[in-house]
Amino acid sequence: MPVKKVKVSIVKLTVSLGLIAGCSAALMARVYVFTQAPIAARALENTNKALQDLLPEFDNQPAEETIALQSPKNVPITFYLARKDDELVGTAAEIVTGEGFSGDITVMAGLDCKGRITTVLVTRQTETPGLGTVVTERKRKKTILNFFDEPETGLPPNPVLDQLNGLSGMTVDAVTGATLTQKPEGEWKLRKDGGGLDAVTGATITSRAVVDAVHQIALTFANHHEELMEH
Amino acid sequence: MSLFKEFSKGILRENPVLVLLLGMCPTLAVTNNAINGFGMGVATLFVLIGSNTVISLIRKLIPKRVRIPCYIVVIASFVTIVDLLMQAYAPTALYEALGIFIPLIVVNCIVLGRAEAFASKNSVGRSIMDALGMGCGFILALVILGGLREFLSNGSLFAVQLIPAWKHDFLLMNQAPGAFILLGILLAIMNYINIRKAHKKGEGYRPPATLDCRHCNICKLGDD
Repeated sequence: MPVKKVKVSIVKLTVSLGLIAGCSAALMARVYVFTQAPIAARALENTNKALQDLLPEFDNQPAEETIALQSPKNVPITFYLARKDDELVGTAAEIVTGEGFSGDITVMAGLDCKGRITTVLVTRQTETPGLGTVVTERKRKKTILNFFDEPETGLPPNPVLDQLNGLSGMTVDAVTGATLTQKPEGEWKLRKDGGGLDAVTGATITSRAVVDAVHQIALTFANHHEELMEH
Repeated sequence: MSLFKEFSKGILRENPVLVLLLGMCPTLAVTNNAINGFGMGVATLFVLIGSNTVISLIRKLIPKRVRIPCYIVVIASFVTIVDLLMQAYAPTALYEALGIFIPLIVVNCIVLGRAEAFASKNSVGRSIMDALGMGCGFILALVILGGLREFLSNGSLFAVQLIPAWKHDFLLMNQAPGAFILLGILLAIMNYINIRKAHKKGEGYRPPATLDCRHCNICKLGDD
């Protein structure tokens, strides 16, 4: 096929493409500015929703009272402080572990003033649906049998996460300072690894990652509990 | 073709996924369940309408030589706007499920294909109807595929468990291989229906004109 030689003005091409690009950029900038506030509010809302589930009743803004610490494995952990009547009633911690089966898992845990875990929530993960998600999900399944029922209140249960409630990484009593009696060895390990915790069959890596993440949170609290209680 | 026909052709007769074979990547990727498929379809519909309208409005102003970059700039702007709006106003679960696939709407062949094959050559009214039809056809295909995959792998539909005993049993349907298999089956069914219809009329089956490479022009970037 013969190549047609057509005279085209470079100026015309540049100007029209530039004009279109300019108008698009202006429109995008307008929408960007317009949506910044709702996006920030969304992010805060999600954090606050998680904190509501993790912490006992509080009357401050834990999202604004945070302490950034390092776990024993040098992973950054953010601690949120909850107060009621100006007294510390509990803390919540957030850690991102890279040991998930497919990508990072963001684990949040609530701790009481003695450093014991009260609740565990997985807020972000990309694990295998049906296997890894059994470890991380807290969902109340809607079936046709209960489709018209009122939704139950409270956090949906998850046996793998709930078994971590009550564990702590403290070696001394937070109140008296006395050394605690020896913890049973392997309290923070899966049964497979010689400990006492259950994992999900077929999702060992995910289970291990979540347990380890909460363990890191507990240990960090133990290492810094004086600093945290002081605030 | 009447305006209504422009709309209805995109639903079944020239369904972008099942007949024109466009936009396969997001179809396979986000149809793990019906809700994700529906969300993706709606986002793409919005982008389609926006880009078709704008490109049809300025079709006389775009020089032929830079038309593809122009289309891409317009489409990318609309996708960015949809992304920002979804981040701000859509439920977090849906936004995170669709994740990387919202920015990928830019390279969804349906959008660029309709811009090149239709919006650049037709009036605004027709282009909007075409976008609506193609978008709705896309939603239909995604919801059917997503619903099938969700039902087979989990026994649920739109997150309502229909068969309580099935919970993540036929996991193959949830992952990529199952998507390919089911899509292949749907395409086969679509082809069978079309061929039967053509035989009843006494003629051989002819794929829609827009499938013809001569109408597409995307490969022929070097020509004027």
